[in-house]
Amino acid sequence: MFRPQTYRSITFACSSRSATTVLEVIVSITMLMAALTLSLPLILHNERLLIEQRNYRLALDELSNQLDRLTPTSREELSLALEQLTVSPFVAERLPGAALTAELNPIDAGQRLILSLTWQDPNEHKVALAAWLFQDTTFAPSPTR
Amino acid sequence: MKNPVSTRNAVSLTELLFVLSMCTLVLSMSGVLLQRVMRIESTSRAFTDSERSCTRLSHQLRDDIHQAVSAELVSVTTAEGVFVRLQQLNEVSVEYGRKADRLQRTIRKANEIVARDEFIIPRFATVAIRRLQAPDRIVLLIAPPSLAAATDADRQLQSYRAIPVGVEIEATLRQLPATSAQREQGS
Repeated sequence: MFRPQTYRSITFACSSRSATTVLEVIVSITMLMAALTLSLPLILHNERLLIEQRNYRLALDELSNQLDRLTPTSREELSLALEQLTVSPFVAERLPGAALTAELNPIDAGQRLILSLTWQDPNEHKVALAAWLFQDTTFAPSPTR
Repeated sequence: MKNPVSTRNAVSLTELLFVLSMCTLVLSMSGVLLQRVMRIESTSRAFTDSERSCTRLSHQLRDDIHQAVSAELVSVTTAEGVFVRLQQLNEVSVEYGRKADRLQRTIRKANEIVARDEFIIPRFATVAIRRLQAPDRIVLLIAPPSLAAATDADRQLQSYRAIPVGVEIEATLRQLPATSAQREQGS
């Protein structure tokens, strides 16, 4: 007399339950922890990527500034200017261990000047810009990396 | 005899507290993750905007200075905050001025404004321009104020978040010989 009524009520309660079981909560926590663990390296990597991009832009600007200053100088003054080549204080402050090197090679109609900038970086980045110096000091810089 | 545990339709207080605390933990961690992701997205967007603006300014200023036949650094503060005026051929002049969080580039032809352009910079960034000799060149420096110099917290935060750290643009004035400049001016 009592049993069928109890069975129906239990069936109804199970089909329309509005609570969560302990197992479900544990599974969701595990999944969330996994998502957090995976996202943490991505967050760190994103910050490193932004810094790298900023450093690359700073290096490119520095090389453009140096080439802009060097290309109008005469051939006699150029060798002296290359010997005294130093990184600007602005970039030295922002790129640790920045070092500038120059390479001057003769080409058919003039000279090819390559400026390279390196700095302390885990990936050992190196940015180089080249300019072609002719008699009328026209130039054509091109970025290479 | 039927097992009473299998047919119970209630939860104990311990179970309820455990599930509630676990749910709170899940919600808190989800909230932190969401907030972190949204902040990264915002920072990355601001960074990309600033970088693009700096790169555009670098190219544009370099190009304008190379095309200029003369340059004048404006020390008197004007309404438009002009700090450099570059005179080009055919009565064209290019002015760069600062207005709060942007640099404004104005092109004039015979004193009539023909074009404007804007470059976003950090609000509290310092803008300095100077002219150097041998060779004759112009140096524009944009840098956020140092953390030590900043006094209030909001300014410190702005300085900390000021990405990129700054830009230094140095371009040489390629002055044309007077005869060729006059010839091109007349053409």
